[in-house]
Amino acid sequence: MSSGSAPGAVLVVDDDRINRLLLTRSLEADGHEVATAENGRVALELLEGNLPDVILLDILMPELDGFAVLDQVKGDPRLRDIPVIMISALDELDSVVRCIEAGAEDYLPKPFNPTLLRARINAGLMKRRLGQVERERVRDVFARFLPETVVDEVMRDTNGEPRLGGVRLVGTVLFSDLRGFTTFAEKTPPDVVVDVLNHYFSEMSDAILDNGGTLLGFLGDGILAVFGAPIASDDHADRALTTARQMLYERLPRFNAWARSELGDDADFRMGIGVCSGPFMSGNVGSARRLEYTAIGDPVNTAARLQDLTKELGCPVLVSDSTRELLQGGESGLEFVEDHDVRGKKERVMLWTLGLTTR
Amino acid sequence: MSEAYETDGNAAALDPQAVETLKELIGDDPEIIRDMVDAFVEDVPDRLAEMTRGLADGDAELVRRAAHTLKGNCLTFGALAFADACRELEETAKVGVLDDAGPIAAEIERTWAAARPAIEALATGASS
Repeated sequence: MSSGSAPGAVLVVDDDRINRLLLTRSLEADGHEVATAENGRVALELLEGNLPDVILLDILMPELDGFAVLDQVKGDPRLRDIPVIMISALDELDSVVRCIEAGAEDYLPKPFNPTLLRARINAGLMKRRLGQVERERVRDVFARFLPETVVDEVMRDTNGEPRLGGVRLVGTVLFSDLRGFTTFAEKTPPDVVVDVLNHYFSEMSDAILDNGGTLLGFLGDGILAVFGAPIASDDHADRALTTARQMLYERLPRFNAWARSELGDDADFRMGIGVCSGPFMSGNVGSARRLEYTAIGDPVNTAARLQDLTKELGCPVLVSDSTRELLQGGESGLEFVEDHDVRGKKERVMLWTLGLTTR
Repeated sequence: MSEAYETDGNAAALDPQAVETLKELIGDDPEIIRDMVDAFVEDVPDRLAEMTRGLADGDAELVRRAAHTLKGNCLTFGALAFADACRELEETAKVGVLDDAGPIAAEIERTWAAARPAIEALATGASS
């Protein structure tokens, strides 16, 4: 028997053993994988494990009926995209209407008609697959700037929408710049420039995303990243410092080694990094056609200025005192540089740098 | 309403279209058909016992549920007279009045006894 479309996983929920047997045999004959539950409570237990592609749900059942199961499924972000098809006797149409209003996809009348059963299941599977394709698309959008570990949480929070609403959080901003690159770019063929820049950005993006940072963007040869947004975390300052350390002392030497092998022995790039913590707003901004995730607030401006100051003060990284104060871990490896007037700040800022030898 | 279960002549026969639909659903594998028939034949006495208990206790909801399940399964196997009697009891119980349910329950027992040989014959392939 051919089902007319790719088979899927179906959960059959019915207190009547004959119906369960009948639907199982019929669906299995079409190649579907079938799990069964004899009441709503058992169904919800099963739904804590692997998810089916379609649920066939009887209305009248002991312990927990079809209405209650439907409510729970549609109220659970993890389950709500699974199409639910109600099983009903022809004289239960009022109940069916109530279920469809509550989010059920369709209904299957008893006694079962094989053609109708197949059509309903295939339509449900098709809907499920389209939903999954859309979900993957949204996931890809988020995965471009969010660490893998945060993507699922954000997907839950945004209900599958490819847009993050504005939030105000305390986090850490990291701003980095590749020194000498503009001069290098001016005397180098464009294809080589782009190749070198992409290699550099790959190294540095990995350092940021691997440490749970959110990549806000590349500006020329600069990189802007935040830690602790869009999902709040306590250890954002620690993770930002770990990232800065890896960028400077692991990723940059590796990038330079690659650059020397490609461009010759005098290729030697340097970096400047500014790190500042505090409250900022973040969210998706832009137009419907071009959307970016961005951060706005004082720590963003200060991190950019600290990055700039690294040239003047001769340290590859400058960390504001606000970041040092928010560190959760013990020995940070920070060394005091000086109190400094930072443009836009009323008070002098205590500045720190990362020692090469510690941690 | 009472003419619904005065189909004495048909009580022993199964609706051929329903039997055809059943085979379309589960396929022609004799073992699977036997599984289905066995499950039904085992299940009916349990539902009948629930029905009797419900009637004795005045539990209309239990009677309604048992009659509802029986009705659905009867239709699946094409035992139409049995299904009609169950539908009658389900509707009576739905209103919550069980006073007149005795004769309908007796009709259910009678139509089941009449339909049972034909249903069991499905498992041995005698009626196909």
